[in-house]
Amino acid sequence: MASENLTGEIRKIDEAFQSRLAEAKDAPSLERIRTDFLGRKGHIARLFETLGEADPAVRREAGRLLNELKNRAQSAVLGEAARVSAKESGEDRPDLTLPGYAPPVGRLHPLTIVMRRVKSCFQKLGFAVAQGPEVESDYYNFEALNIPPGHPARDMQDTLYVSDRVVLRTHTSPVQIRVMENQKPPVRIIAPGRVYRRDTPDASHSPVFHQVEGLCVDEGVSFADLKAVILAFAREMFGSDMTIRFRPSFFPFTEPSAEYDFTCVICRGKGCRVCKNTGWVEISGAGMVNPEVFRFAGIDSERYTGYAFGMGVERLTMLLYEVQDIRAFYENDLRFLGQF
Amino acid sequence: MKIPLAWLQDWIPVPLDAHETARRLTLAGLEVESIDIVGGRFRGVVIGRILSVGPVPGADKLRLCRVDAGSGEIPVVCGAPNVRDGILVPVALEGAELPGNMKIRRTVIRNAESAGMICSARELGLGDDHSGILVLDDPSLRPGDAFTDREGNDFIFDINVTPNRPDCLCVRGIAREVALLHGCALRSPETVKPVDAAGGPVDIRIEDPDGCSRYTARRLKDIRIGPSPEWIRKRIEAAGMHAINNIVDITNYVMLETGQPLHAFDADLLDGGRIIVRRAGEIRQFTTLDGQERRLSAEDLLICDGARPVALAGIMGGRNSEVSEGTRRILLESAHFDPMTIRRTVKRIGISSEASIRMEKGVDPSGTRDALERAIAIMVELSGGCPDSGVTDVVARPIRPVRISLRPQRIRRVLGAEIPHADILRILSGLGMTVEGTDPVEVTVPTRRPDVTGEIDLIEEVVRHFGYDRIEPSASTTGPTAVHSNREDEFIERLRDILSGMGFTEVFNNSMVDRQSTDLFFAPVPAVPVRNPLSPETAFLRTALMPGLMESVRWNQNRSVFDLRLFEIGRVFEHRGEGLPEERVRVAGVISESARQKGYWKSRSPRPDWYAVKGTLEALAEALHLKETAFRPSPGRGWVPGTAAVFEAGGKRIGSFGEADPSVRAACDVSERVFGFELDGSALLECLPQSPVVRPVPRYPAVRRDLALVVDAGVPVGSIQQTLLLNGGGLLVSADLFDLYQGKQIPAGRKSLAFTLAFLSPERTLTDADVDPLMNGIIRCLESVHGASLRS
Repeated sequence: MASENLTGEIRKIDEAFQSRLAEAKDAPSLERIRTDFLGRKGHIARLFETLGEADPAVRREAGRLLNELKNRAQSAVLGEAARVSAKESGEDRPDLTLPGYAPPVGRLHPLTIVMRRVKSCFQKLGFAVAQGPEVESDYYNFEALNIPPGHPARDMQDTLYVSDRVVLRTHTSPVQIRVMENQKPPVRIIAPGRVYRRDTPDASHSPVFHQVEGLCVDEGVSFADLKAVILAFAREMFGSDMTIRFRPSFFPFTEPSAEYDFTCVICRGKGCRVCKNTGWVEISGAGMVNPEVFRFAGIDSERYTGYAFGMGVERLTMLLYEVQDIRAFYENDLRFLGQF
Repeated sequence: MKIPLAWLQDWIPVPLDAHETARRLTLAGLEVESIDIVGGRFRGVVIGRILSVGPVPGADKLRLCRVDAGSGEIPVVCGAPNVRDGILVPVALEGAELPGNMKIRRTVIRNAESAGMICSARELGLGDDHSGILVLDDPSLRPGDAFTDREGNDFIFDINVTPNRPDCLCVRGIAREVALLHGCALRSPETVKPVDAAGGPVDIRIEDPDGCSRYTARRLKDIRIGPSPEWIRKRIEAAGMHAINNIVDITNYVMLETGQPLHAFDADLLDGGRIIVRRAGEIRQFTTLDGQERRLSAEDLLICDGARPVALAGIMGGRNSEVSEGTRRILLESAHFDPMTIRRTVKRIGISSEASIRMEKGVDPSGTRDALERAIAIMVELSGGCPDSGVTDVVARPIRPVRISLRPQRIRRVLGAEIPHADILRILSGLGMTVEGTDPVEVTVPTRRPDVTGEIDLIEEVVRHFGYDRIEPSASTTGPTAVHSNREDEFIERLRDILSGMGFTEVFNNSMVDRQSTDLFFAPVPAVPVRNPLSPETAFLRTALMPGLMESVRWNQNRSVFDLRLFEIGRVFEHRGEGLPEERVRVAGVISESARQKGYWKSRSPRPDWYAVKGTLEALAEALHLKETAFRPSPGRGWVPGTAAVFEAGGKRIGSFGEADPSVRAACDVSERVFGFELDGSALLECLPQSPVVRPVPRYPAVRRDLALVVDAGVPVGSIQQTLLLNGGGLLVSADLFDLYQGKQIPAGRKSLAFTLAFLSPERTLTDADVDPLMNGIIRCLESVHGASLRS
């Protein structure tokens, strides 16, 4: 067979295939096309047989064309078959209003979400995460933090006791001491965790809640550094327009001590119900580590200075999401948890 | 501490603005928590700005105004001829009280709603002008601010005095701060008139100098008991105390003013007219003037006369020596007691008074005499009495002022800012400290400041008055720390992501639980008791997470929220005698079956069951790349017998799972079936592989064969799988069950299993010739080992 004849034959078969395919409407007709063209005794197989007799000079080019036709025909038949079967089963045009089949969606607790944000913020600032026990000795929870037995500051928090010397920690501050006992400065840690107070539950009190404690100790650490780190945190957490306010306060383990406020995150400082028209919301306490605390931890307070700060995770979460009642965090109502 | 502004004003030579004074105090660490406006002729009146004036249909003379009253815009109907927009006016809001017992209510006038009243001078009792409303000219007034009657109103500050500042539990102490904050000197309101001595000294004996460092007293005679004048009553009542009679009120007045608690005894009731300060020792009981009988302990400090106790020192006087209407002679006590001694008695007896609040925090040991003389002067003036003794001042243990060196460069180091030397001196001397030298500054601290004991305390005083806001934030210049990642914390966060990714929602439960829930699940462990719980429901620390999750199921089920997949990660506690309990991190989850099965429109989703929990653990193991995982039956408390199993990895027990037992469900008030698991966090972390070592992906295709067989119903599928894999000639890489059937076409007591087997060689493409002999061997083995028959 002459070479033009072979290529011409391939083209003819190709055209015949195209026109038959265009007319195919259902699965049986498609199956017939498949047998006629791609079957063991179909047109394409027949041409492959003639290929062996062809002039070696054209065999190569014709073989390539034939292979190409075979592949194209196969995928065309498969594609058309899929379309036909979808049409037959009515799936060619899905009802967009019918619900899809979705895997269940699980959610993280809002306190986890906020605790992660706090952690990530301070980790970027070079703080490591440290942990301590939730049931603490009186020594770490009070004494080493410069709150000796009988100190009036013990009245500032109502404590839950396990025994005379063992308490449910009232703050995450004991982690400060545990870290400083084991690590020489420089120290830069945050300690997130659960704390306990003997508070009757109401909209703003929970006997169980979460704090994040921060501690930075090194040579040359100052109150100005403390303000800088709190400002950085405020902006990372609530936006770059945040400003902070430090007010003198009293904590036995820091001196000078401060309460720090953020621009009201609800009204952005204009004055609203949440900030009682002051434009500020109270966040928590901070200050320079009291030299007495350094003494307990065995750190030279002449050489090193440090700052510490705390914050309530529930408080931040309530401000971020405008949650009105702290008890919602522990009721675990899915209609609440599902919103985060 | 509650203080009327007018009282503070007595001590300050410049006029005080209530809000500005409060702001300055707050920024100096004396937080003004609230300002109450009292007295005057009206209350509930605020400044308002009239935003617009419109007609009231059907009423020619009335106008409907929209008024900005600070908290929002309100409609007010007004009939005054001079009402116009833009002006500032006094607005009596709903609930306001005006002279003549007039109460403002929200009303509707001619179909127009009115939420308040714009007032004339006469309506406020400020004058006779009733020709129109009062127009306020002062442009500094802001809508919403209280409109006050400067004549009669007073502002009561409620100041949160931190426990380190007992010196600020009195008007004088706060006034000292206010004076410094206003850059003026403290003014003494009245000079104490010295009252001439008459008669001999008071017989005072301090037997316990540790408990009482100083006792100052004087007798007064010819007293006439009666009510005190209104100005005293008003002030002590504003401060939150009750007026009783002139003598008692004056002791309270002077205490509120100076911080020094005073006590007046009826001197005629004191045996031998003597005062002995001693510990209770063998004295077991005492009746305080509130009529309560108090049981004493040997350590309690008492004031006794010649025969018996007459007061609980620094806390409360006794009924036996109380000042009453018939009292003619008093003995006035002004003493300094050891704060810790007072505090212990207060705590132990559970008694507290205005005196003890101050005594237990520390009053000024140098101030007993001044306070006594101030009170005597007022008493002589107001009760007609005259001295019956000289001032007797017994100092048993002198308490001297502390001297501290303050290094300016230390201030710089701690604050990271420069504070001018002049400011340091101004602030310290303004606080009553004596300052000498420049570097270091030698500071003598008055005895009224027991909180100032070291250099850091002085630095705090300096920056407190310099202004925290004047310290500029500056980024740290300190070097890197040894930041190390916290493996456990990161692992827990990873678990949270995996479980929430598998459709579980995270819950947080209280770690304090009731007794019952500590032994619902798992082998009982001693629970940590809370000694002073708020209620029996929170008297123990949790020993497991499952009970909390059951509670979460109950809460949601009772609110018709079903189809729950919940997890919690938290600590559980095991009592270890005297020391700290053992704390372990647990990971637990539940899947609860819905009472009303939620279906998918296309096909019913499978009801959650035991296999859903097992599958969760299998998926978790796969996500974490756990090795050598196994599930073994193991009876466990809380689970339905037969469903209880343990999950192992790396040859170690990680935790257990099963279906919650109906008895547990009943105890937890859960009606739905619940399937759960609880794993030990550290056990899980320990068997975590470092990081997976990657093997090359197979280069040759697998040959797949399906195998359907029938075996006795009791044969575990796992044992057949094991047989399959052992007989695969090293080429069988997986044998996955894809069907399990019992019923028609299968003989009773038998079940049909269908597996897909995959054969794979790392070296070449396998052919039927490789696989067929292996299949034959496998089938023979299944027949002989498991009594399996091939299903065609």
